[in-house]
Amino acid sequence: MSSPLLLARLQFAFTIGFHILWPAYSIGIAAFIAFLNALWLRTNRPVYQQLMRFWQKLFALGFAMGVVTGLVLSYQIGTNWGGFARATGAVTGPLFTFEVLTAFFLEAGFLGIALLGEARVGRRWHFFACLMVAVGTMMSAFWILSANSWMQTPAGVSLDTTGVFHVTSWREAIFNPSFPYRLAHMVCACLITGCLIVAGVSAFQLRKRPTPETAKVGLSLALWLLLFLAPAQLVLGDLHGLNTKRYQPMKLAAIEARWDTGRSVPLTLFAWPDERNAVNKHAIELSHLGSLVLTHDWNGEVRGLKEVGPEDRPPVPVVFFAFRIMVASGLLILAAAFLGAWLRYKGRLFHAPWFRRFLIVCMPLGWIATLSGWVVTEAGRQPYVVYGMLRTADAVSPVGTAASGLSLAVFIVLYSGLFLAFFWYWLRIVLSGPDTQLPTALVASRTTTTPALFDEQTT
Amino acid sequence: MTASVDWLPVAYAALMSASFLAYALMDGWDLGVGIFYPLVARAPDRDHLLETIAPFWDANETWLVLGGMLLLLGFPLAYAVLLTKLYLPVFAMLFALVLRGVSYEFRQQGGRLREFWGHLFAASSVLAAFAQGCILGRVVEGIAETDSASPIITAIRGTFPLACGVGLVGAYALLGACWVILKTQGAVQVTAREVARSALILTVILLIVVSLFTPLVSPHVAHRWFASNDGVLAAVAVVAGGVVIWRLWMSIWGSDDRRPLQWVIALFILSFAGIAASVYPYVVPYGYTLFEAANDRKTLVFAAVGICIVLPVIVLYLALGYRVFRGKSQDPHPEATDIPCVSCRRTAGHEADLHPS
Repeated sequence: MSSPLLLARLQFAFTIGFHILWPAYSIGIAAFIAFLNALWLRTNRPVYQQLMRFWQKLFALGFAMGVVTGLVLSYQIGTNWGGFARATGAVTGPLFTFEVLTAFFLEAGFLGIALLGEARVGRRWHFFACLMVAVGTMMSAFWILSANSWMQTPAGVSLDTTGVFHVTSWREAIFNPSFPYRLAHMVCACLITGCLIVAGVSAFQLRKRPTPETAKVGLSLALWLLLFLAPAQLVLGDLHGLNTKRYQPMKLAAIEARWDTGRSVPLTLFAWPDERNAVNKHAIELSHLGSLVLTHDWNGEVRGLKEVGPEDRPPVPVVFFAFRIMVASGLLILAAAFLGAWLRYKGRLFHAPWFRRFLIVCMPLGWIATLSGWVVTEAGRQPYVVYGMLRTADAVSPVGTAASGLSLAVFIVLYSGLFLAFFWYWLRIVLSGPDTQLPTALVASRTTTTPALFDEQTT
Repeated sequence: MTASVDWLPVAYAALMSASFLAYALMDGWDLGVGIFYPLVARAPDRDHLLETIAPFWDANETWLVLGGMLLLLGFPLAYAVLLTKLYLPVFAMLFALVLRGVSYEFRQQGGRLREFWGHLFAASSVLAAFAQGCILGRVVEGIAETDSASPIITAIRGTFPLACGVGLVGAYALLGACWVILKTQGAVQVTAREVARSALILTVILLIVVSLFTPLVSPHVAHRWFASNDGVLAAVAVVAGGVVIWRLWMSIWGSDDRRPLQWVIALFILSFAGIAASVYPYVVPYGYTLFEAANDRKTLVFAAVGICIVLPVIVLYLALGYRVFRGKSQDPHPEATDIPCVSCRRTAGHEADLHPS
């Protein structure tokens, strides 16, 4: 691989990988804030308002990171991937534009009111603003995943002799074969990411005495949501896998590090894929289970990487290991959800220190799973940028090694610094906790909160 | 070939230009606030200054994303060529905007590093403005390679974008100062009036310098300006510009706080329209016209339907946002201001709500 191409790929992978952390965070937290606001509007319990204000502070911080790192991407497609822009502009142009129009403006336009306008617009309009921010984040996911899915499973287009795509059917292009699965999988991942962060922060605040009401409510809500979302994600992931098997067989082969096409294939738990010799070293396998999981049939056929030449194969170890990191994270998340349900059943949800620590450790799992999932799907699409139709090598801009190396270096330094600073300020807000002293319009109804109900079991 | 013009690419070019103009205006005053920041000495006044853009900057920056995406949608070829050729200034702008956005948010969090982020906010605002000016300069003088130019012209072509960069820093400072005049009172507002006049002088000088050199660096612009038909229009634009600058100068210390911003917006629209008209019909000056670089007609029609439905709604709710936060921005340290906040929209009850102390 030539070095300008490698640098361009590294840079895009780094900037988009860093960016996706924030939408994943924002989508989950924005939905949670809108949910809290709805609860507050219905029940008038101040604890929901306190939680909402607290999470809005944490949301604003992550949202700003998403806005600025997203802005970079909207220009980077031109600076580094001019060939892609030129070839696919007829398809991706409207999708990206619709994303800006229906999502970015909606989020950013209502964010000011959601964060700062509560006293100015009244509670109902404030709820509406919070809802619009949440809807905006979802709309963004819709369009960008449509564009990405089209790159994975292109449909509704024709390719002319100069290598430029033309749209033949917008319905087929937007609702391309992998889009519904990828959208559902990603949105669910974002919601889970949000739940885990809420659960972890609440678990962390449970250590305070007297136990804050907000921490209990936050933890309880997050774990209820997680109990439904985590198993749902397992099902969605499975469906997405079946879709990948049908439309991107070589990606699936790379995920499983399967070199030879075969029936009744084993499930590879671990291996060291050797690309040069096209074999797996140190493989730990469970017979027949591969076919069962991948095809839902004991003797189902799974295609192998040797069906195509080495130049048409995705980077197997990257895809293989990223997939295993994603699945391992997913299983841990599932464990957290089930453990939470069991502890709740036993009435010990707020009184198990080990579970509290476990939840704090689980906090970044949503991010880790999302990021590794994206590595699987993007690296698994290689060597194409539009699967089977446009090679990544043909999509890169003619930019010198010095320029793209410099920009990559600056990105690494800049984003690392930003991440540290974000984490520092985020931690400050978490440590200070929700402001329960805020005077609210509902001071009178405060007496309804009864922390004693839970605290009597503490000792 | 018929004389009739294909209106669809022209409409997209107009829409894209409008989006970039909206960005230059609205994020212009955000960046202007950043450029203005080091000139405000007292810490409470700095807080007040930054408070004026708090509900808006996210949405204001979104116009830049829309402009970029409309360039990709309308003219994919131009998007690819322009951004590849402008690699360094574009990345300088992007890095600066990343820093500007996060340093603003981090500064609002308080703590020991507050002033560090404040200065970073100011520095990145200056850099973003300068880089945008450079990009504008490069676009006006032409991206496509020119051959066999004399060494003097080459030197001028090298310096021209830098002059545009300085000019835009001044123009944004002016815009920011006029925004601050509208949104604040007391000491901050007085400083803003002083800064506005200085910035106006800088802006006008560079506007004249850049205008004088534009025909030199770009034969296409020279041809447009001095061609008999368009020459009249150019003369009208110059006179209108003079009038606007004069009215702006007079309004800065005037009694109506809205006037300076209105006149500076008029100046921006005039300048921007002038640039757009000079470069027309090129979208990659002076290599590809907007007709040559236009996207598939089918794509443009499809997207136009969506844009026509959604864009009016966006304008409506963005206006609503500005209306919700209309009037003077709330001083975060009312006790530190020497002039009492008389025309504050908030009632005493609201004040108590947000200041529990």
